[in-house]
Order: sequence, then structure tokens, then C-alpha cells
Amino acid sequence: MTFKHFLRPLGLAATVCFGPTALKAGEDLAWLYTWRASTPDAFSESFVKEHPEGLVIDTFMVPDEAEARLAAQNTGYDVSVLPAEIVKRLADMDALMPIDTPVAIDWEAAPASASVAQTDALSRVADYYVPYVWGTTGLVMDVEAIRARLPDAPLDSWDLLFDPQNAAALSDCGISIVESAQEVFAITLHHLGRDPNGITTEDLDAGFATLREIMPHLRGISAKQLEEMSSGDTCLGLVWSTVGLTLAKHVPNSNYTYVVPKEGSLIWSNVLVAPKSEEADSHRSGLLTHILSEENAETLANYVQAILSPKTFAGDMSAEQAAIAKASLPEGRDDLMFALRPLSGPKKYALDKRWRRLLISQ
Amino acid sequence: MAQLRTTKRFLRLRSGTALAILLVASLIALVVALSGRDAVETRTNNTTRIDAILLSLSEMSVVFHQIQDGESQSQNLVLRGQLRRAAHNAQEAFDALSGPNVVESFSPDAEAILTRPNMNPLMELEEVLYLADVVVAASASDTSINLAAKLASDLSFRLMPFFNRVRQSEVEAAEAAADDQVLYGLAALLVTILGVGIAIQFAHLPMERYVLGAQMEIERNQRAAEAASEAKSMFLATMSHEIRTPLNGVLGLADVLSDTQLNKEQRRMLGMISSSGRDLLQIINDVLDLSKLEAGKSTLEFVDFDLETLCRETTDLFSGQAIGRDVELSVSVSPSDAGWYLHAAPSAVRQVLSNLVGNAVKFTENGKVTVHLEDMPGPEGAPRFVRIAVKDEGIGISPEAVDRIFNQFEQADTSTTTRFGGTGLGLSIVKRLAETMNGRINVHSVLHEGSEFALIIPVAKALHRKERPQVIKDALFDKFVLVADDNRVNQMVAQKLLQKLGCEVRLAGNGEEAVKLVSDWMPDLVLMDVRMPVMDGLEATRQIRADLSIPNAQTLPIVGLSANALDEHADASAMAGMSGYLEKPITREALIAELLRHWPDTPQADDREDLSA
Repeated sequence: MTFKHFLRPLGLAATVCFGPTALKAGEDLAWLYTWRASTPDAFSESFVKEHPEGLVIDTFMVPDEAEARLAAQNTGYDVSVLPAEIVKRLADMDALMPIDTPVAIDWEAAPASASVAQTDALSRVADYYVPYVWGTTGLVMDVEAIRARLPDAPLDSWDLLFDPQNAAALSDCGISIVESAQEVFAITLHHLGRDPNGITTEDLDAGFATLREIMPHLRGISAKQLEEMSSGDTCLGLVWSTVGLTLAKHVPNSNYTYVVPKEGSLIWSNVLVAPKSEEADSHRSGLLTHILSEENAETLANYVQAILSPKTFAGDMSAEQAAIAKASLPEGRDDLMFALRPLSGPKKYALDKRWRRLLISQ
Repeated sequence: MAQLRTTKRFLRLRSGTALAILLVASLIALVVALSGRDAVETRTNNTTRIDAILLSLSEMSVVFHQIQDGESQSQNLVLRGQLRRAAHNAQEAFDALSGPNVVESFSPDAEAILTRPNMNPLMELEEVLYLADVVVAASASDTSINLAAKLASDLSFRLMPFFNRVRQSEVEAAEAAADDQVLYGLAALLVTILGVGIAIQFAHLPMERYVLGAQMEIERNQRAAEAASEAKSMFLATMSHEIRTPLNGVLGLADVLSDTQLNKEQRRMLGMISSSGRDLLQIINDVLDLSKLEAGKSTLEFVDFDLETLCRETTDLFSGQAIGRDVELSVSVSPSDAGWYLHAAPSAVRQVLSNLVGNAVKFTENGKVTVHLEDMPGPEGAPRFVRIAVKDEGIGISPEAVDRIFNQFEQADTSTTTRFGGTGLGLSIVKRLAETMNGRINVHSVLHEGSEFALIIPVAKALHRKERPQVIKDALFDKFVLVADDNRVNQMVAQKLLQKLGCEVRLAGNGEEAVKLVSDWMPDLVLMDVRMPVMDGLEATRQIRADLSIPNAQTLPIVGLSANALDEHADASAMAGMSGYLEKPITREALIAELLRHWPDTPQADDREDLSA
């Protein structure tokens, strides 16, 4: 073990403990907390042109990481991108500040399928977020590889994944599941015909029993699916549409196709929030305006193959956005889609505990 | 006094209030200190527990990471050992936090974090410990171990900020508690200052005014008392002079008359005149002595003398009286290694002894009176004390009367004065004199059996060797002596005494006449009364000493005469230039002694007999 190996976790621990506040001391930087690899370099450069103080983008890979970081408070972030379902828990922990939205949304005019994520996950916390992007969770697959192993299996059904025989047949070419306990569990329940937001003991038993059956056939449960699947040696993945579409579009010589199963799936929504901070609100407004500006908002959404929520609600989408929307949510599936509802702390703890037992096969 | 009593109650009430406020302030300060100590102790314990968790989480995180990095088999064993130890420490801290009322002892912010339903740090820590158990379990597969390590690592990193916040909240709470303690301390200080202010305003200042007022009143009374005492002394001095002057005449003439041819009846009556006069003189002397002692104007003259001789001589003075009362009067002296020639105040001792022996003889009838002289035993190196005890077989004193016999004008009972006479001043003088000599008087008495009065005084070793006492005998001086006195009787007494001593005498009625006669007649010695009309003796002396026409103006013996026994008259005489001082009434012995002091070569009676032989 090298000295560098030893220092790396310690440095990480220090950063986790003291957060960007420690880094920010004495500086007047703007801080954005968002998904890993979700902003192009041009975004930062354009911000610095308008705001010479500078911008620091800190990132997370899984929602639990972001939730834990923001729940600790005093992070120093001016703006953060978050999955909608964790906003209420953070607001309940007094980890967020009310935020003035520069985006006026006509909820009445919003398409029902697109707004379901907003209304379900963000009810009662309207003061704490600004709609940002949305997408779906579905399957990305190498059709040829799958057909080679399962010539008759339905490619547009969750059975392809949750049927243990199918999973067993595909285990040699690789199955990956996104590291997002609530999403995977909800889709499992949906596959079983149960309420996807159910969290009773029976729901947990049923959902994890199904997952436990396919676990031995999985290559991994990962938050780095984009990197891991870019090599093309994983033939099936339960992924976010952003990952699925990116793989399908940008991976050279890939045979990946993103599919929203015919049974319907999950619509996720990411929002912009203002983490609570003891420091003055010097960059929040500027950063928010910069993100949602005409020249940046769509660029950012397109960069990650997500759909810009305000444009969706306004019915004013560009061709590229419309294409992403169509790929993310094929026509005719609107009524089969659902959104995650926020879980209470104890329920989330129970779910996470089961999730971890599943992962370590205990 | 009624006003003073009211003030005292008033002051007690106010000082009590002030003290109560101070007590309350002190109690508040004590409570603040104790509660502050408890708060600091609690915060310290809580911070220590959180520190232990943070340290363990950090250690575990490092190990979790290293295990994920896929170290070698042997290295993994070491890492698992480290993890087991770190997890054990974390488990202990977790168990401590899970104890009853422990979480409640945290600050409100910290408690809110530790008990909140979302991202509950204690529940998540328990999960980390569970995952750590999986990692260290020998039965787990490598895949499970790596996954458990990854999950535990992620969870540990997410947990640390929460525990760090808990710790920060505790530190801030400790700082706030310290600040509160300072504030409470300041409040207690303010209450104390208030108490002090009230104490000053309502107790100290009034008390100060009260004390100063009382002191001023005491000083005023003291000045008044001193003035009264001064006036009394002046009165007594004046009266003593005015009384003693004619009395001196009576006694002096009786003395002179006793040297003439008298029949038996005349001699008996003359004796009664002398006796009555001496009694009267004694009373006056007693009053005067007491006055001097009270006024603090009595200074003792400490000289070398033979105490045994003094005791015998003084006792001998009462031998005639003792014979008359059929009293056996004796003196016994215990042997003393240091001898009885010593350094003390003989006049005071004589006066005390005279009083005691006089009383003993007076109150004894047909019995014994014994004067006993002895050393008081004491530790080696201590000052020497002697005891002169006068024991009688008289009427004795009742126990209840013993305590008051030393008071002025007090006797054992009212019948004593009637039966035995006396002023009741004698023992009061004795006690004062004993105290002036730094000694004391002890009394032991049994009613109807007798009394013993003992004088105990410190004495010093004699400064000079003992000399043979000078015996005053008759002498013929054959000198010219001028007597200056405004009182004709005194003039006559002095003239007769001097003439019997072979002197030629001329008389002057005041100082002016005396100065003129000295200049004209050139006497060998002047007896100069201090107080005279026209010109007093002091002024006359000064003029004589300053008169250059008088050949022996500086050496001429001028002996002051005064019936005033106060010592300052003797001092004033010396200051004016007098070369001697005689107290009136002049006795033959005193006069001879004074003349011999100026003409020591004058042959005395024995010398003359020797010469004639």
C-alpha cells in the first residue's frame, strides 16, 4: 500500500466532514452541487465570464450521497441539483432554504405524464425548489446479444430483467442495475403489480424476494453505469434515461437501445434547490439565473440527455429536446408512468437496510 | 441613650438586609459555579463520546477503503484486525450514547440531530457496525466483504458530518454555557455590588456617622471631664494650700511651744492639738494624693533604698499607736539572696505600708499586727517581685465587702467610719499606688478573725552600692537666713526653727521685699515661699539671679517653700532658679537636712561633742 493510497480516504473524510465551507473560507466563489459529469466545460466558462469570482462544481454519484451531504448543513453550496423525492426530507430537516423561482410554470397546461413527478414528489414543498429536468428509468440493452441468448424473450417488458430464468440466461453477457434503492424497489413492485410507492413489510418482503432471485445473475449494482457499460460488455441495464440515451447515442459502435417497458415505468425529476447556509446569499440568484438562462438551460439538459422541465411545461421544446423526450418516454406510455413519493426517514431507513442486506447477500 | 438604642436597632435591621443580599449573591454565585461545572462536565463527556465515534469512523473508513482496493490476503487480515479494534471502540461509544438519558443530556441542537427520524446518525452508525461485522466475519465471501466494505465506507463518510455537527453543537453549547456562566457571574457580581452599595448606604455610612458622633460625644465628655478634673485638682491644690498654711502654723507653733516650759495639763492639751492637727493634715494629704493619682500627675521616683529598713521605720511610726491599743506590732523579714537593698519607688512603698499598717493597728484591739517582707518565688530569669504583707487580728472584712473596700469613700460597712473614723480614701490610694508601681494588692480576710493585705511589686537590682544613711542630728549653722513668706505664722515658725539652729533671721512679706533685703542684707540663704502677694517667690528668685549687683546672685541658696504638694511646683521652682525645695509644714528634720545639703561642713551635735572632747 502506497502513502497515496493511505492519504486518499483521509482526504476524502476531511472533505466530507468540513465540506466546501472549509474550502470556501476566504474566497468568494460560487458553488454548485450536482450530478457527476452533468455539466459541460462551457457552462463554467460562460459563468466565469459573467461572474469573475469563479465557480466550483462539486458532484455526487448517488442520491443518498447528496442527501447526506446536504442534511449535514452548512455546506456552502449556493445551488444544488437534487432528485425530487428527497427534497421534502431535506426540507423537513431544515437543510434547505426557500428559493424564489425565476420560472413561472402553468401547472394546468402541463402534460400529465411530465408533471406527475413534480406533483407527487414535491407536494407541500413548493417554496423549496425550482423545476429543472426530468427523465425516465428504463432498460438499456444490447438487442443482438440478448437475442442470441433469449430469442423469444420480450424485449419491451420488465420480465426480461425480473424473470430469474431470463436473468440467468443473460448473466454471462452482464446485467447492471442502477444504485438507487428506492427507484429499483419501486420498479420491482410495479413489475409485481403492486403500488410502486408501497413500503409496508409485505411490500418489502415481496420486492426484495424478487430482487434476491435475480441478484446472483447481476454483474453489479452501480452508480457508474455510464463508464462501466461504455465498454459494451454489459448487455442489459436498469438505467436512468440519461444514461441509456447517452450510451445509445454516444458510445461508438454500440448496439444499445433504451427501452421503457410496456408495463410502464418511473418518471424521475431533478430540481434546483438552495442548500441552507450561514453565509450570505451572494451567488444563489446569479447561479440560478445562469443555469435556467435560454443559452444554458437546454444545453445542460441536452448534455445529459434529460428534458428541461420548464420547456416541457410551457410546451416550447426544441427539436433536440423533443427527440430526447420522445426517446425517454415513448408515446402511449404516459398513463403507465409513475413517480416516486418521498419516504419518511424511518421508511427510507428500513428500505436502505433491506437494500444493503440484498447487496451483501445477507 | 434612647436615641442611640433606636439607631442600633435601625442599623442592625439595615446591616442585616445588606448581609442578606450579600448572602443571596454569594449563593447565586455558588449555584452558578456548580451548575456551570456540571454543564461543562456534561459537554466534555458528550464531546469525548462523539470524538471517539468520529475517530473510530475515520479509522474504519480508511480500512474499508483499503479493503475495497483489494489488498493482499495477508494484508486483508491485518486490515480486518484494525477494523475489529476500531469497530470495538465505536461500539463502546455507541453503547455509551445509547444509555438512559444520555442523548437527552446533549444540547438541543445535538439532541435534535441524534434523535431525528431522517438520516438518524445513531441508527446509521449501528448499520455501519453491522457492515463492519460482515467485513470481519471469516465466513463471508470476498464479494460480500467488498460490497459490505463499500457500503460501510459510503455510510461512514455520510455519517461523519452529522457527528461532526453534533460535536460542534456540543462545543458551541459549552461555549454558550461558559458565556452564560460569565453572565450569571456578572449578575451575581452586580447583586453583590448592589448588596455592598446597600450595606454602605444603609448600614456603613449611618454606622460611621453614629460612631463618629459617639466618638465626638465621648471626646466632648472627656474634655469636660478633664476640665472638671483639672478644676478639681486646682481646687484641691488651692484648698490644700489654703488649709495647710494655717495648719502648718498651728503645728509649727505647737512644735515651738512644746520646747517651752509647760505644766503637765498644758503639755497634754498641746499634744492633743498636735495630734488633731496631724490627723487633719493626713486627711488633706490623702485627698491630695488621690487627686494627684487620678490626675496622673503623680510621678514615682525610683531610687536605691533598703526595703527592710523602710518597712521597719514605717512600722515604727505606728508603735506608739499600737501600744495604746494593746497591739503587738512586729516586723519579720525572710532571708533573701538578692538582699533588700534594691531599686524601687520608696515613697510610694512607704505610703502604701503606712496606710496598711495604720489600718491594721486601727482595726485591731488587743491582738497582733505583723509586717512580713519576703521574695515572691518566680521562674529563673523573670523580674523579681517582693511581697510585703500586713497581717492583723482585727475585725476582718466580710467577703462581700472585700470587693468594694478599694473604692473611694468606701469602708467595710457604714459603722466603720463611725467606730474607727477615716475617710475611706486610704485603700483607694493604696490600690492606685500599687498599680502605678506595676504591682497589685491582695486581700485575704475572715470576718472577726483578721485580715492580711499584701503589696506585691516588681523591684530591680540596686544601681549603686549601699551607702550608710545620713543621720540627721542637731546642728548650729551660725548663718544669715532670709525668710520670705506672706503668712505671719509661717514666718514665725520658720524664724523660731532657724533661730534654734543658730541662724540670724530676717523676714520679708513678699517677693519684692525679699529681693530688696537680699540686695541690702546679703543673707547666706533664702527660704522663699512660692506663692506670695505683690511678687511671688518664683519671680523674686529670677530677679535675684539676674541682679548683677549681688555678688553671689548665682550661687546664693534659695530654697522654695510651698504648701502645695503637686510636683509641678517643685519643677517650677527649679526652673525659676531655686536651689532647693521644702514642703510646708516645715519640720525640723527636713530643715536641718536641707541646710546641711547647702552647708555640709557644718558640725552636728555628735561632731561638736567630739570637738569639745
